[in-house]
Amino acid sequence: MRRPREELIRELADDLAPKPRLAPPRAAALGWLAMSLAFVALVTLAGGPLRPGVARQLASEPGFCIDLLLGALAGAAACFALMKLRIPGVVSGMRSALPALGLLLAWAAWQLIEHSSRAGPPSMLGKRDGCMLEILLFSALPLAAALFVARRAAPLERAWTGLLAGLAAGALPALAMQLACLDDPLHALTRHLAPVLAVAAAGAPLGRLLLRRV
Amino acid sequence: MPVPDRSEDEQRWSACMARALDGDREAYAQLMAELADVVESYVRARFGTARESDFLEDCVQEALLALHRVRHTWDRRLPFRPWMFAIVRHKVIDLLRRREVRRTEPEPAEETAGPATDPSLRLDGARLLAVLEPAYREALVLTKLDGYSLEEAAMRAGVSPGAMKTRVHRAVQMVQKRLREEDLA
Repeated sequence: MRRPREELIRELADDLAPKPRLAPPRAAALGWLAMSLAFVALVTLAGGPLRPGVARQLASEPGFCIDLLLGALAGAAACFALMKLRIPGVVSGMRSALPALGLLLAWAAWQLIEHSSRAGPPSMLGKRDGCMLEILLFSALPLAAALFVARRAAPLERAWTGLLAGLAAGALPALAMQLACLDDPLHALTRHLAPVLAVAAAGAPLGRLLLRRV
Repeated sequence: MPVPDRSEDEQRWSACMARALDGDREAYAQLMAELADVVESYVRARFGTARESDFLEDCVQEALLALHRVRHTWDRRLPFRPWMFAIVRHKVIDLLRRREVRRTEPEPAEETAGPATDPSLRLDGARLLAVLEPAYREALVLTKLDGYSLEEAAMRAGVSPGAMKTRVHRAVQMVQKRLREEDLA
């Protein structure tokens, strides 16, 4: 039964208990990124060492740096968009997700470009048999943390919020695996980047399920 | 008639909300009362005033409750209006989607019999509904504003319940799109 409007307003005013302030998008994004990066670095190193020669690659191969940069930007863009999207009226879902999705696409395209420019079979140095599974596993906790942060706010577009949380959470372990697992663009595309899409795709229904309806 | 000054509203609402978040109940009650009128005008301008509809009041109260629940998400450094209207628009769409029929009185005889007439004729100033195609407008008004079940609405419109369901779904999508466009404009 609906109450008279004046009564509702009185009740709302009486219920005006202080609530903790929400962290601004940038601070929340940086906090999540720092914690998630630390976690992903830790579990990746716990699973095995980095690929031998990766430091030399970083110093001498611009293509490899671009690869890492695109991955890092995709993850960061998804994270910043997510933290904005959790606050009503700041951005719209699709519009906010476009930069991150575009960067993910560019990251995938870069693997194809790299593949076409390489000759000979790839080196098996650093190969991790379960890299795909590791990415999925390592993204679980960052994804849960991202959804928790979003849940404390009021995302109006829950599926887009979940998708961005999945994209951000999946990109970090994929990025770590580019440093740890074997260096082959096709392998990276099918075993490292494909799980990012899977985590993002799983994030959308999870967002609808776990985030509160405003 | 003087045009309301948006920046003046913005400043007043922001100030009231800031005081409310610091615990000022009086400022909060004043803000909520003012926002109730704003939400009412917003909904009335877009959906008109259906004679038997409790849609308007549902929108107002649901919007106030939502604003109250998520008040902590308003950032004092950001403008109040976009935050508030994003929530109001979301609640209106949400209400249109999941609104259940709560009819308490039997319908008058003249309403239950006779050929279907355009229900939007009973609406006043329904700016948003006016841009919908007649079939979609009729579907939305019958099921969401007048509160008829899908079957009843289908019978009145002379279509199958399945077709009515599709029309309602599309009409809600169109309304959502229009409201988004308004926000972006």
